[in-house]
Amino acid sequence: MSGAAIEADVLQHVSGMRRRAFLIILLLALLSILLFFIAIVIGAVPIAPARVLAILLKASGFQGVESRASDANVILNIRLPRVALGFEVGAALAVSGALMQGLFRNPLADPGLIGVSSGAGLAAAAAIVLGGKLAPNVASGFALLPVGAFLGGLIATLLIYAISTRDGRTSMATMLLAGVGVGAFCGALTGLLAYWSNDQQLRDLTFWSLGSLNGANWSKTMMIAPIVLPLAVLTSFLGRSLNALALGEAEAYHLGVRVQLVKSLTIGLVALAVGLSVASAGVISFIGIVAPHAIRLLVGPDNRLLLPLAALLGGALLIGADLLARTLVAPAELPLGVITSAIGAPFFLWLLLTRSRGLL
Amino acid sequence: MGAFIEARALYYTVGHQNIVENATISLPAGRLIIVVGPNGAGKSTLLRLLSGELRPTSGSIVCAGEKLQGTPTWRLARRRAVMAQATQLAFPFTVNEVVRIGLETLGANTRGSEADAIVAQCLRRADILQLACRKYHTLSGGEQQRTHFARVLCQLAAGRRSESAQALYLDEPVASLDLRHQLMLLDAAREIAKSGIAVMAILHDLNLAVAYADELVVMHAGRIVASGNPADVLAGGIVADVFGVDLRLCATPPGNTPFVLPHGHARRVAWRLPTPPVENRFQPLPIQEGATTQRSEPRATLPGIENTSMSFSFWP
Repeated sequence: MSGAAIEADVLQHVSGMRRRAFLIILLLALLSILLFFIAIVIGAVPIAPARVLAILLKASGFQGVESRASDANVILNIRLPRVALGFEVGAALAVSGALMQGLFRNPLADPGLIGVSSGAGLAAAAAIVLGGKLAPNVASGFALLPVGAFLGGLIATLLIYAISTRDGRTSMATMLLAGVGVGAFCGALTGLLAYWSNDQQLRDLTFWSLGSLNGANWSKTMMIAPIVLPLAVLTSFLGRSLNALALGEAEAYHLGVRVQLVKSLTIGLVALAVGLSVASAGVISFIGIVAPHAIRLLVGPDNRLLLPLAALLGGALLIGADLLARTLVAPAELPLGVITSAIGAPFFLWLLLTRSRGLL
Repeated sequence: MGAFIEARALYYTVGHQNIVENATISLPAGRLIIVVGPNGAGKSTLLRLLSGELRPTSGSIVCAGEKLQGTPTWRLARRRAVMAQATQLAFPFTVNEVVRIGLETLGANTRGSEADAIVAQCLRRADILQLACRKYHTLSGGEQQRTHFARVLCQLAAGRRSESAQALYLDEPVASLDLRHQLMLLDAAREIAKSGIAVMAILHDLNLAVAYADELVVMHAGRIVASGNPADVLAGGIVADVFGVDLRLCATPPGNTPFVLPHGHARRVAWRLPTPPVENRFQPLPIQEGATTQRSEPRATLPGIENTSMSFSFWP
């Protein structure tokens, strides 16, 4: 083949990849919207889809649409915040996973590596087991568990960050090991608290550690939004930097990336996003690994596409999982973490078998 | 044209050991400077000091009239590109994507057909265009190295839009390349230098170094022990001392380019040949008759490879 023909070939390949990526963005967006709507329609109180649409239209300011007040209450104050929270948590977890994998240059990295989950787990256990004894007045309020979990996650991350940063440079290898160390210590203390707990507390702890969107309300949904939105805005800046970082830290520096800034920013954002997710919905496993990997297999490893698409997919996955969690054994509810792993893991393995070409 | 980098009395110390000791070097625009020296002589460390990746323990570096330490990372990235010794890629990018990274981190105006043209030209220049759609990690070591060469070319081309003074640093760029691509890469390095860019390369092949360098720098134990015109540096005899081997210095026609023959190798060749008759014994050994008739000019063009070195205008 002549040079010009090869070049035309390459250009065609590139534009084909772009078209494909665009198609997948479109499909994912449609899937998210569809799941969002289905999740609002299905629930304990049967409400017809047309009526749900009418209620949503009325709530967004359209006149002349009639609806029953009790149905509107169910939709607007129970289902809608729950689904919105689910989407936010899923998106936050998926983007955090993708960011961690880019930062650690390792496809197996997940947000747990920087200690958020273990710190939050310890704080939650402390709130459940000791909260009633030490601060009975506060414990009666709803805030102790989520606030404690959030602060616990943040403190653990700060500790790991401080250990692995010297002379203004963070060593990712040290961070990995420090995360293992802090995680083991938090795990031991959590185990000790579980040993001291009574049956009811142990049950609470187990359910919390499997995650649930039960108890979602608008205030929780709004609490997470200020973190999830900046994540979405920063993805174009972080995406480019993480692409360069895939070549190594020195190469990224040569390419003009302020490596330490990217590290601090990413770790901070991930700690906040995961801390808030864990605080409002408990520990939900596997979304942070499945969503980015599925996107990587579909559109390639370019982080500028990966981050927003993983957010979409993560959000959609969590809405779907929550829908199953509250309908499969209705009127009871399954723990969310059980669904995400039970569905996520086989789906992930199927992707590996059918689509994987070489390394992830 | 002035110097891109002026470094004075550089020291880089780890513990009590000077990795680089009292190094003073300048990289003039438009010249190809080649650094040679034994393993561990501090060549790569010097390169990393000059590129801004490492901070010198003491000494000053002035880059394009500014202090290197104070230059923001993004501006530095437009002024100089670095091809490191070994680069590992964490995720399965394609060759095309890797090369594009060289363009895209530099700024927003890197989209559309203009960017496509730069990328295609750099891919072609590194002779990797035909592999552009392949995944990087499925390539051979030499092909990966050419991919990174295309990437640094892209970075230079993008930076050239806003910066007039630029430099290219190459750390053992030909280490895993085949013979043809070694010449191709060094040809490209020369042409880049000719277009007004300061080029610094670390090489191990003394003959390639002598053939291509405008200035040869010899390092030993952290110090710059000789620098200057390649022929003069070789004639000074310091290279043999630095490497601890016996060298025989010859000249290859037509330009009488200096040619270094390691002595141990020559002895082995001599041992295999039957003892020549007495009258022939003092003929210079390496200049064989065949060598003069072959294409011995080291800066050979690559016939049959379209667009690689003929009528090449480097910058789009």
